[in-house]
Amino acid sequence: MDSSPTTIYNLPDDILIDIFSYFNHQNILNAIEVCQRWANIIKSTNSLKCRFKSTILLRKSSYLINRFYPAELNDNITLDMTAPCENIHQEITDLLERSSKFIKVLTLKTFFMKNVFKVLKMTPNLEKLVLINLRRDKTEEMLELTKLKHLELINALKIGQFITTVSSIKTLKIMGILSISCKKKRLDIRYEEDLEKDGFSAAISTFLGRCVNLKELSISNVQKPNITLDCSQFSFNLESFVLEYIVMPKQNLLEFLVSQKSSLKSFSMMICEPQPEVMDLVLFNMHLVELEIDTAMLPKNFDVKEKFSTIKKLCFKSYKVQEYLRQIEYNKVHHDAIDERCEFDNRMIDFNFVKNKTRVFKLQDDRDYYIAPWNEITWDIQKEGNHPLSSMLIMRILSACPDLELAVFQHFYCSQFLDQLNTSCKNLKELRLYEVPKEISEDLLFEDLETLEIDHMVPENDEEVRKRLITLGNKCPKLKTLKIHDFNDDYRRRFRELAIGIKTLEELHVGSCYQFLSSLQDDIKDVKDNGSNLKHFSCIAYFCECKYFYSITGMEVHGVQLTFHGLYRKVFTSIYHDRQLGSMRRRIGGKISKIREIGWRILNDEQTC
Amino acid sequence: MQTIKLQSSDNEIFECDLAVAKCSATIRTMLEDLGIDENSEDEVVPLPNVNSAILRKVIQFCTYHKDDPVPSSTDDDENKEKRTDDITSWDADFLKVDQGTLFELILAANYLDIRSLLDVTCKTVANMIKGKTPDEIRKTFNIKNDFTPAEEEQVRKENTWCEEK
Repeated sequence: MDSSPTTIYNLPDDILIDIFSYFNHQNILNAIEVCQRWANIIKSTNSLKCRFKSTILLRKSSYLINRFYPAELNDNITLDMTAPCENIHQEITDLLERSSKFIKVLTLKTFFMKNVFKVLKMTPNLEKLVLINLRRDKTEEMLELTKLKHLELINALKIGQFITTVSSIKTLKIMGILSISCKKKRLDIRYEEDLEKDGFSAAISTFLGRCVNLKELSISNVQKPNITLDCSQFSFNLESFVLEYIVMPKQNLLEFLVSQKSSLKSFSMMICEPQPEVMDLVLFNMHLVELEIDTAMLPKNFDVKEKFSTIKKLCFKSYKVQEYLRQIEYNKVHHDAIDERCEFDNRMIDFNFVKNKTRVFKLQDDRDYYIAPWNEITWDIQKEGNHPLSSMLIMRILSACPDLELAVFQHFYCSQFLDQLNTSCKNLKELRLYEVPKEISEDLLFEDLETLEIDHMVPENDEEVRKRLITLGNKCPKLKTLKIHDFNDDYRRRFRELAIGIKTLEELHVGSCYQFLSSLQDDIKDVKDNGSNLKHFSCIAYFCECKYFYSITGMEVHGVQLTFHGLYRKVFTSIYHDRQLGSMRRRIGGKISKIREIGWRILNDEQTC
Repeated sequence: MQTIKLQSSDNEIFECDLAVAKCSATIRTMLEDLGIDENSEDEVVPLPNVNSAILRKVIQFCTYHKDDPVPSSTDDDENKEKRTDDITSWDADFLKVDQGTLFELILAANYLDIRSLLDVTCKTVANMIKGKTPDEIRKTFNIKNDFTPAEEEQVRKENTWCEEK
């Protein structure tokens, strides 16, 4: 037998993992620096790795926050505990304590119930709470939310424990319930573990029954179970009701709408099965001011002249161009929108533009209309954007909108419309394009354009695209804001050239950049010395390892206000493409890009769903 | 009382209670699956990976703990941080040994598959590491720092973000 003494080197890897599993994150951080073998073991063991990673992220976040972020600005905080943590990290507790009085909006993701309670106790002035994927535990406390006005439950199937423990919620005005399909096909209501689908409906109904002052309700449900609401429990008078995806049995929906008839002003029903009875009720007997429906919802041979008399904002949407066109074929819809009555000439071949603020358009041979809400056109056609008919539609719509102030072209190429925009829409103030137009004609001039956004700049010839963008920018004498939303590593040149090239610019967002702190101060001084009028600069500062996001505002360098949005690429795309989350937030919480948030998104690769 | 003979790597024979020996899942398996006859007086179970000094300690440990309730195997949440401050005073005294013995006990517990001994020894080592800087850990266990300066820089950078400003 070997006579040399046994040392820690003799222990096999799985024993070291056993030993390391007793460590907290600080111990793990130290252990990883000891030697190669230990580092490799920790990095290759998932249960240890995620503890180690989350610590690094928290350190980074708390570093940034403590350094730049004044406590009173922490009014909107997102905490994501996807990495399994029994207890709230000290860093988070510190942050919450520092800002506790100021926090108004809080998003908690994958929290254990007891931690939700803990956090809620630290935030007495909370007005809006978003709960995503709550984790069950044995907490049996009852909770009183005295100032909460706005509650969103996302992946509501897992929120069961929360809704059964909230005792009083009289102040609640806005409520959103989104249940995304969950892997486990099983309800997560603690006290009613074995309940079937009805259990969820009953719990939601009881909960809504406690919300006596609720004004806005939004229910989305991507997959079953469906929700049946027990209207007898409700004493609220809704003003706004949003349904997305089919969630309620027809009879129940009718009953619910009838009970809310007197107060309901805004109704939206998207991506649901066509239900002519429901539409008839909505359109005949309610005094709606706003209506948003999927074109697929409209019954055949639908005459709207009478039905829309009170509606001021009407939005037709279709998630699939083909379906939209198919609907156009047989719907023969006539709309009379915006309290101005108007006559339609059924023989008109072209669009019929009615009133200044009205956007009513008629396609040729009087078959149908496209109605955009107010002075804003959003034409969101995924991938199918180059459909010849849709291009034609757009050209016509543009030619009929001299007062258009905002035009958004998402997900498709827009070069062909630029000239049309230029000649038809003289009052355009804001323009969002998918790409920098390939050709910019000499006589292009957007006199009033103040804001230009570009979704995507082709990276391989960024330099040439930048030149074109500067040319375009210089065709807009009032251009103050330029935003570019893609990711590009060459942010320094982009920043420098655009800030100097377009002298009118006051606000610039360049997309992504690495290591912004090290060179940014010099860069800003440089562009200011070169005559730039820049007052605000923002960028997405993403780091390869960062699986969290945050925004930081309030720092000033050489007279330029700075905003950093930190994003991990994957997370960003998932938020961006997550229609359910996106539309939910859009409806109740405003644009994602405009929410000031600090958030941690500590995702564990294995858990990403 | 039934006894069993165990033979250490240096050929020393230990006679101990069957109940004590059965704290080791390895011995239990040997007896049950490999058909070693429990009643045969002369049968000796060879344990070629454990020397006599360690085997004596192991038997001492198992004798003390033989009546402990079997812990329910509920390590369902392996991500949960586990406690290290729940070592009983008897165990703590028992483990007041030099490092070499401690590691050999770990190896023996691992080989003999004695969960309670493995847990308490691992906890002890974890406690020796906790609260120490990387350098102190290396000194404690006589571990060579095998990172190149560049690697060390990289690790440190990963750990403490954004030191330059």
